[in-house]
Amino acid sequence: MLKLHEIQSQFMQGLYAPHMVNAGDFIQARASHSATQSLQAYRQSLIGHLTQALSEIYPVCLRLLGEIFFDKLSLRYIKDHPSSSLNLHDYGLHFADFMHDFPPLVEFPYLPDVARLEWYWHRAFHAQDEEDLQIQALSALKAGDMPFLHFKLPASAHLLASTFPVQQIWAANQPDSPTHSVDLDQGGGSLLIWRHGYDMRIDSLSQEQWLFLSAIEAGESFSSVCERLPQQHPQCNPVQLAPECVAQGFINGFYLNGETS
Amino acid sequence: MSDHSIQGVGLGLRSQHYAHILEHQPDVPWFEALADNYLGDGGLPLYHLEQIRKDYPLTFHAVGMSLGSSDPLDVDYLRKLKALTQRFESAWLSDHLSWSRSNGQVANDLLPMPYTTEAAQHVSDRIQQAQEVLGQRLVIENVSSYLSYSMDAMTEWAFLMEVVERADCLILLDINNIYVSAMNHGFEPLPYLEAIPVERVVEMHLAGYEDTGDLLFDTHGQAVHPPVWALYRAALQRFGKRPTLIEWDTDIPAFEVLQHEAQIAERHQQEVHHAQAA
Repeated sequence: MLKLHEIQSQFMQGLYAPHMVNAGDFIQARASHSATQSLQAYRQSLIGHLTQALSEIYPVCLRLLGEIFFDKLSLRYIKDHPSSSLNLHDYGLHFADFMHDFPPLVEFPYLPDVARLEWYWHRAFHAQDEEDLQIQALSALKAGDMPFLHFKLPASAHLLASTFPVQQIWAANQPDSPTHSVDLDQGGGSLLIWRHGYDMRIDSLSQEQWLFLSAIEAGESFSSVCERLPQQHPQCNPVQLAPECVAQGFINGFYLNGETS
Repeated sequence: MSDHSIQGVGLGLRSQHYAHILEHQPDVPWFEALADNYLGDGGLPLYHLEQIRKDYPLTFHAVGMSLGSSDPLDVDYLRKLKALTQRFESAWLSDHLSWSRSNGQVANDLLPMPYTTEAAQHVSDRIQQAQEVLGQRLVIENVSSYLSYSMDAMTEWAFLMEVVERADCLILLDINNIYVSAMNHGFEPLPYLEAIPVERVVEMHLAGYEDTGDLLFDTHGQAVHPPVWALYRAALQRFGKRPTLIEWDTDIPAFEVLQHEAQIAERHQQEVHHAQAA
């Protein structure tokens, strides 16, 4: 008799790769259903749950592709990316990369970046609640602290640069949007997708803000940023950008030598 | 476990109804929240739940413990659940007699257990481990099933009883699931009810199934069907007035539709109670 582990291994394989198992080895056939048909009922249910999860995270992609194409795309994604988390909110992390590599979508090169924006929105929605950084808190720092000062972005924040106008595409495909057409030739830009309190935000960044926040996100110390960035990009002034980003909430914390404040 | 704050017919809390609940404060005795929707680090779901908790008692219902799985228990998940139940002071926490993970792959669904002694021992050991991490007794729900295993050696209700007795946990009896499984597998539902010890049942669930012609599916997308109401009356006769929940998860209707279902359940409770008292 098969042990529990063996039964569950075969069952799971039958859900994601049904051609790899013989359902009759562990499932009873019935008058109305073969063992394979019984397993197929669970496979369809699972595909339904995962497709629903993807459609809730990627509603703009769903709208752009249409339900029939989106469902087929989801089916291919599910086959290549079985779920590995008990929490459905974690499913769909690789959807943008999958779309990028999916040949039928080659005519729609902006879609992967739209999907990235939607994934970042989803993560920001569930991210940790945080307070703004009060600029006065920095006055407690001593001169000797400055070489060790690191700023940090909100836990909800994600940077996204695209050559396509993904923010406009996203906005034009919201349920209450007054416009549904976007000029793809207008070019892209740099975005910060984040949550300010309970307010979901997509902020368009200047080139200087993008360079500065990218360095902060990479964990570079403020003193290093102040030295490096103006050399490489003379228009960048980190001493001016830091309070500006704090005031807008793009920076909401700092730490010294790796200790969070 | 008996929490007197949870009585009568409650409703499954769904995000589509947050605004209605907060604006109108409807007369609902308690809500049951899907724990997995509140495991994020922050954001609006937790904010809304906090607002609703100020006015209503709460229970949590989880789908991700994968208690029957042969993979290791996800202790991080259990710790998050524990923190959630403590933060919101929920009356109890329930999950299912099922499995969802094998060899690291997850089927985000409630897969049935084989009804064997080995499986019963395994899942009852896991429930005990989970109870230790959670610091509370678990409430275990019977699931709907659409297949039987070749090695099944006992009935579903005998399996349920063996598990709950060994693990010393409590039961959330889903009346719709009993009916769906009974029809799919061709057994009579009443002996199922009669096998369940009265003292272990702390809650009952009601929902609508979908009939595809050859199978009934537990989709939670319709009103409760007449034969399930009939089985609910039989359950009320056996178990007495137990906290009962109306679940609706797909094609979610207006809040008033859920309230109407709850009123029907309350009417059945009163009629059965009066008939027994007479």
